[in-house]
Amino acid sequence: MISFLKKHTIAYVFMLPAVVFLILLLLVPIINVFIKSFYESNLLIVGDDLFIGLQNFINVMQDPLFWTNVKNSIVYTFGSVGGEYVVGLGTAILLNQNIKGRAFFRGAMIIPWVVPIVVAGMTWRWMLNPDYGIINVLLMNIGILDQSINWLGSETTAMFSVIWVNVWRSFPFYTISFLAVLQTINKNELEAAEIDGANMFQKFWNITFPKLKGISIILIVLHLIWTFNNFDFIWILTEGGPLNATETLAIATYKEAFMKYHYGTASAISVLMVVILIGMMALYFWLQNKQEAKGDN
Amino acid sequence: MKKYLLLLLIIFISVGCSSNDSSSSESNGSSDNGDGTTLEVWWNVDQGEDRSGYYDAIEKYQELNQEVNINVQVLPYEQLKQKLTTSSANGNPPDIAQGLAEWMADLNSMGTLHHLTDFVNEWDEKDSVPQAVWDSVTMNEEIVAFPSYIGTRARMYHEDIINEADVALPETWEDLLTVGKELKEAGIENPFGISATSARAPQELAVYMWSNNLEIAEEISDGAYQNTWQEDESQLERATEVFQFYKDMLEQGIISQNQTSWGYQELDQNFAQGRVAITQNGPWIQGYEEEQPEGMEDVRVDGVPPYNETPATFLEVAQWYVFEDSDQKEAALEFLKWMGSKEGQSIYAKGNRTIRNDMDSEGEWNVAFTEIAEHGRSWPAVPMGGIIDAMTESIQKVLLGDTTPEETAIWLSDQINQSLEENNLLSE
Repeated sequence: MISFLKKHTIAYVFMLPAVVFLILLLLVPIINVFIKSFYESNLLIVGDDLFIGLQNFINVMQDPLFWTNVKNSIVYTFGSVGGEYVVGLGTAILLNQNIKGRAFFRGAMIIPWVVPIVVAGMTWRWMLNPDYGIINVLLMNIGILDQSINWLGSETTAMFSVIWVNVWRSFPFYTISFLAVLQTINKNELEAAEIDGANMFQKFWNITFPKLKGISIILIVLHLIWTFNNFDFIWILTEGGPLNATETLAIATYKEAFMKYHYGTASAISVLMVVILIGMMALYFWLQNKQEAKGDN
Repeated sequence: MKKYLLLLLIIFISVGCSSNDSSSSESNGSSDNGDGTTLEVWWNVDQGEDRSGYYDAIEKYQELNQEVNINVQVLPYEQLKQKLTTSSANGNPPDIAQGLAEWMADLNSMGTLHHLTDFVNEWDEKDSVPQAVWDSVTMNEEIVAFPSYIGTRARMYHEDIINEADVALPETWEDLLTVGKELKEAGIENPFGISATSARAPQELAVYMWSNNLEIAEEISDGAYQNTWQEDESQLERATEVFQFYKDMLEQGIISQNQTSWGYQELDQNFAQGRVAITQNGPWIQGYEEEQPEGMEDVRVDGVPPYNETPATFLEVAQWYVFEDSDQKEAALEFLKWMGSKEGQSIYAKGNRTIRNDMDSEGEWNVAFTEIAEHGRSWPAVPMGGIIDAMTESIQKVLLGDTTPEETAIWLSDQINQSLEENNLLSE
């Protein structure tokens, strides 16, 4: 043990600043949120917080709006991740072909990812504007629409529009990741399959797609977490409206904490978000393992 | 070698983590070193040309008070409010901040504001500021903020559109519905303009409520409030009328369907472009004259927004806050005193939106807004976060949802009382 410590002391000392910052900036706030969720904590009432056990959780779950928020969060998360996956994979396959101007397209494709979220959000808000937004003008000019649609202001189209914008923003991350893996695939393998009579779809399904499995798991898990917790795009585009049609749990947490100053309730919603995310991850890995076991048999 | 590396690392960490007098005082927001006083001021005033007076005033104050240095931090309103809340809660606020009227009760309830009653009573120019303005910064008989500038909302219209359609300007809701219909028939897409989202929506709704003799929250006893619409049939009827007015405007085409998602940006932009004939708006719209000279050419301002029973308008009193945790309160108060003086106001407010009643308003716009100040009303002295959110949702409920005006009025009344209860302010 002593020789182990002697051998690794310098490594631990070098790691120490990072560990300290990690504890201070991540662990302490997270623990604080968990503790606060058991207290009645209202910034507008001067005095000590009152321990109320699970009451915050009961209040939150008894509010019908919470379940609307859960539904919206799930629709937004799965809609976004699904859309990003399909668009990202499609563009990666296209950009992996020998096409003219490939370098240019690869560079241009990254633009949505590098544009700051606030700028992208404001720009899309104007583009989707029903009075003079370019999207409505284009759709009407080419005859798809008879009259403009209030994309962000209607309960039926708001969620779709927010997902659309989020897909536009995030798909380049998928494209780059998929492209990196696609470039490692041995061309001989594909040629051999072609000689054996495999068509394009069979080559993709049996050779290319299995090789994307590892990166897919990473991308899906990461984006499920990021999208479920995403706040900025929705806030900039709709602020959770109209009539709570795009109000996710992240938006509800913000409203409770920074508009109503109910830190206890906001913390309870945050803890429930963590629980839901853990549940989603567990389900994903369980399905994954089940499929692998099936494949092995 | 390892020992040296370790030693070097320890030195780096010690130096890196140690505090430095000058930097720590800067990050703390204020300092009172031997060379003078540095006041940390947070506000949302950017250095745009139309707002140059704010910076000129600070420069002048520093010139007059060589020992004072004013350090300004500019933040958008939403971020400013968040930063003020978190920094105040952690005992590290700036010395002074400029904020919106709806923040006052929140910050005061947190116990972070330095009360200014004694300071204002001792100020020999106190009477140069109208009592209505002092009332708007008073909570539980304590002055908790210092007025920074005032702004009202007036009826605003495109004269050419009104003349071409040959209609009279609407004074009341009934007039507006009649005139709106005529304008619609004359081919005007948006006879009237509203905000149904953003911070402007609840402000407009409040004006309609006040103009129909309704209170958002009534002080029942000392420091205890209640929304009383459901206690009194006639009040509920009047609240229902307000929401019916919104519904009628939509159903009769006085406001377009697109307006159900308009915030202040959309309203201002559409009005400045001449796509909205009449609206209620503030003096900032004058800033569009450069951007949209053609659209703004025929814009006229006069009178209060269309009302039902009593003429009313929104009196926006932007406020200066001095924080209890600031260790330079004296210097901060001296600065505010000068900003409120005739000299300070003449540079800062440049003759418009001034808090003083002994200065002449300049230009047609400022005269129009000053004339209606007597009808100005402001938010009740209760935390508004939850109430404002519910007010915005109530507009959407009646315009987009299938809720009736009466159901919406009852729902909003419940939400207001729930917010009061959550903040221990609901009258038993």
